[in-house]
Amino acid sequence: MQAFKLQSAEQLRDFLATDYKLYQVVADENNNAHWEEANEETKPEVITEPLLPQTSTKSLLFSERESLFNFDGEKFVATIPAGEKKVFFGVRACDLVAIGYQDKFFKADPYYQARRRDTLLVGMDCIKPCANGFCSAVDAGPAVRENTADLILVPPVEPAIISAADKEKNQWFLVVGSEQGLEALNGLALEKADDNWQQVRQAIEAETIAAFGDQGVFADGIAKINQNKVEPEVWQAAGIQCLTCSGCSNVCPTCSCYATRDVGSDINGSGMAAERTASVTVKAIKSAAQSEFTRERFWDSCLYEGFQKEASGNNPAEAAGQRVARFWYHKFSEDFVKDFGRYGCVGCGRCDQVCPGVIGAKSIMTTIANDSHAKNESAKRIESVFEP
Amino acid sequence: MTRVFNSICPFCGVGCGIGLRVTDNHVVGVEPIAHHPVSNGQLCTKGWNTEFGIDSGNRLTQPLIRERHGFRPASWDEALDLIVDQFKVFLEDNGPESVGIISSARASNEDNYAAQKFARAVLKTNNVDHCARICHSPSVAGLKQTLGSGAMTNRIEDIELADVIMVFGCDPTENHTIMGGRIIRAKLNGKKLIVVDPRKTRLAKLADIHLQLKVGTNIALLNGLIHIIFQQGWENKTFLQQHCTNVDSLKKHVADYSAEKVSQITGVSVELLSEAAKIYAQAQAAWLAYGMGITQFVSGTNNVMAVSNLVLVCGQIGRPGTGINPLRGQNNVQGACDMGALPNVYPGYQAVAETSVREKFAKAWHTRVAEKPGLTSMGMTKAALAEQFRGMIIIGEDPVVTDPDQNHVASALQAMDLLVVVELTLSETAKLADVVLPAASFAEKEGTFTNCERRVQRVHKAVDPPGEALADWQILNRLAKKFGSACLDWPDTETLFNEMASLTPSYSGMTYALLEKHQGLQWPCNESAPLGTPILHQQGFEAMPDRKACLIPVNQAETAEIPDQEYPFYLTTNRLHFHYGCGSMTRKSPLLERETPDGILFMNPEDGEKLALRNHAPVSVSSRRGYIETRVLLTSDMPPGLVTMPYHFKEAPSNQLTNDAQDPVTKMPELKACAVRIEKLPEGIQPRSLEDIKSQSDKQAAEVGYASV
Repeated sequence: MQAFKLQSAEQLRDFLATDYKLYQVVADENNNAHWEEANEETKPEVITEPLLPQTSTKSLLFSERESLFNFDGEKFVATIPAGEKKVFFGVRACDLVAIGYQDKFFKADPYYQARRRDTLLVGMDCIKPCANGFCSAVDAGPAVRENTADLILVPPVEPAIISAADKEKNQWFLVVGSEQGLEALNGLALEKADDNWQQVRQAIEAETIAAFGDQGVFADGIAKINQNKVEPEVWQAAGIQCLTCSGCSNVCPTCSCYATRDVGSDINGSGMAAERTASVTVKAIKSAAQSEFTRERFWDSCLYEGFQKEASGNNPAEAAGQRVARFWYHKFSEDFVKDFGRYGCVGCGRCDQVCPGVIGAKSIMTTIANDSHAKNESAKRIESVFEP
Repeated sequence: MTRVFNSICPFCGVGCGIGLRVTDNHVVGVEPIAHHPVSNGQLCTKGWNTEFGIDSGNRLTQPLIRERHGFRPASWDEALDLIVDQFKVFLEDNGPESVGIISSARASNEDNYAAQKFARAVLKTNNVDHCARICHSPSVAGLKQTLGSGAMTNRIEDIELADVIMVFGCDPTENHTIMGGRIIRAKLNGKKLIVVDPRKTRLAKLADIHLQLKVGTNIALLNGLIHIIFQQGWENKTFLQQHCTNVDSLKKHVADYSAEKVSQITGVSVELLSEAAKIYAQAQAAWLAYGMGITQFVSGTNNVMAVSNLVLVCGQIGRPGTGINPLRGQNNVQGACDMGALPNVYPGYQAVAETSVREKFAKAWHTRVAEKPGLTSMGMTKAALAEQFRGMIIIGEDPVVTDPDQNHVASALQAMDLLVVVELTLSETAKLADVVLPAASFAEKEGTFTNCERRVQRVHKAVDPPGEALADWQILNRLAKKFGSACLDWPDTETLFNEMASLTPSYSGMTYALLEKHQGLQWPCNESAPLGTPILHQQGFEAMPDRKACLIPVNQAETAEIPDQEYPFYLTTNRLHFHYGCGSMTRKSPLLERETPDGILFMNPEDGEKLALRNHAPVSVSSRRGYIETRVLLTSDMPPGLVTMPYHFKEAPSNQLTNDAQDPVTKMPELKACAVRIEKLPEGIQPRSLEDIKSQSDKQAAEVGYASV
């Protein structure tokens, strides 16, 4: 691996922006941050604070709503998005791990791959813990993981906490993460970083990890989930608290479930009519087959009761608690490690912020680790949620 | 290229911050706003599915005019000319009392201000109303008498400052989900939670105390709690002495409600009543919320005053973490009321009956304004049936689905000479219209919404309206011009807002720039409170004589209909987390539509057994007013003898059955209780939709042999 000194993140950003369409985190005056396409005039400053935008880059690769193909009455025409040469600038370690996870899941998905193919990933190490994150507990940060980014920015540590001996920490590094990353730097004059850059980066990461404090509940919780030692009462109580908002799966950077429906032309021919075939009926199939339609896919959520409901009406996860259990099994079970090389959770903590029922990752893992619900009186009064 | 536009969720009254993700002039998705003062980066499932609700799919894109065989598209000019010509005839022949406007709790403050101004200054009628009539008119009427103001007294975030939370006749995790989530969080943090509801709601399952009262016994329960509090000396004596009148008469009145007697009426044990009374009265700060389980009764106004009595007796008001907090159902029902889309008040609740108020507005608007008092929405439908009402404009409401006794509403609308409906889609009500005008959705216009905690928040235009659709205020502006009036001629919503603020004392300190900067401001916002007023009544009750709240004794009264041999079940109504109102937006989401349960008549399993019904068995439900078919869903969340139905589904609308018996004060219909009969349909029968039932004649139905419609 090689690394360079960098005057500022903007130096690299502006260089890349001449050749790539630029996406970066943009925040408003109230610190509400989003991934947005930044245009030439309004390129904002690169945000170095540990500010995780509430939504990841997921929707830029796996669209929340897109058409798959059109049927004109005779033939099907796939609607694969046009690829574009773009850069995601300043992606955090957790979200990069998630992109790697999605790359595996969507390996054969032409829609995802069309967007992913020409995307350059410029990561950025986190040098302070963010509000809800626990990346260090699930091996997804705070420094960018190997083989997850084409280029990696190592930001300077705040001068206030730097002693004289730590002076080398107070500058930007650029670490090359892939061949494509190196190629992208072609034409940019950069000075090689000092030989000890790796030690410096490791030291910053060690300090950052220490600043997260005790993350023991995650190891305990993961162990209990894998040993099937979570009391049913915990899931039952979580089932009452799950308000089925779908927020967790929407903001989760590794969630990838979707549903489809066919939408036909409406009476005015002015757009798409809501012919609902997500819950397939004979009538809908007939009408779809008789006319033009577009197949659309959109994000789904396994927390919905209808997600696993079978045509017969049978539902293997009818109780809300079973669905919550299943969601966390998918995030923390060893069963998925063989396919994906890691857990499904990248420790971004977005689910903790988005969940109105207080059953995001940190909340639920704390409950599981401490098993406080088994002793909680309210759990005894909740039998009725498991009734059909 | 995707951009995110900050806006406010268009569903319930909580007013969560929502970011609209826009690609190519199309809302492709939404995200919560992380640092929003109300929602802190959360949305409910309805909010998360917003993009489907405003999809261009079945949106109206041009004006439609009814012809003999259905609608034909028309130009704006043609449609508006037709309306103006007809309305001029009505005004000439029958006077301004024969026309009116139903405005919308879903539309912006700007739209509502324009609607009431159009009625009063252009049509010269006070016949303007909106659906607050059937949700919180008793709150306005009741709390106006006891506290001087009918809105939530405290903030949503005060939930976190309370040590006791009392949830009375409302189901916030389903209907005001993000607020419900805050209650869950508070409960998990060790706060005490008391739930009063005949149904075992989600919060009831988590609560410390669930007072599972019989439907329609609210006043007995409240009087009983107050009686226990006085008996034990738990009342807040200092507060009562300093801030309340009529204490002795209330004390004497509730002495009639002994715990034993109340226990018998309500079905709640004496022990639970005492425990709840103690916890609420002795709390440092108790935050009380109530909803339709209080207001939608013939005793609605009295119910509200009984809740107010409890709050005042314990002095749980005027401080952080306390308050009496009516939960509003629509994104802007508070604003529609504030804007004076009501027959008896101008913006800011300035009374139509006061000559000085009428003169103030006539002067400001440079025109004569309506003189006579106006009709409520139900007054207008009644007048139409009596052939005394000829032309109506309905903006963004679907009374054919959402109002009680639908058959009555539909025939009233059909009895009018001209019905104009301004809508996003061809709703059930729009299908009855003579002229349909295409409206812009919240994502397609600038404006403000006022949430239930009185917070006025900006919404932004993120995409263009489809086709020729326009914002409601723009439509009214064009219509006014055709009437020869320039009085709605604003260049933009900001000018409109500034005019409104200059005439509405509680909004007088607000500007678009300030609202933007502070992520909303809570009224009253004026010279003495330039950044708004998060908590009301901190220095007494400013709108009351001597600044004192009034305790008004009320008596338990029976519901208008009581189950009998012929109709042996009580039917109440509820809402599902997944759907909103008449479903015109949420049912466009394939994900939410998939969540619709197989049956929508919720019944206790014991009752199911008595009627030999298995889960999901097809049944018919009939009341003295109507008949529907659906499937039963057996759940011990319901007590025996009581069944409930949500009103979202036009296939089996509960409002075919509900009673339009009214609260005498506010004309609020009794949607929460009526008597019904439930009969098993033969196994294997598919319940028929209302449409199918109606299209089959009595004779055919009799031949099929299982239904007597």
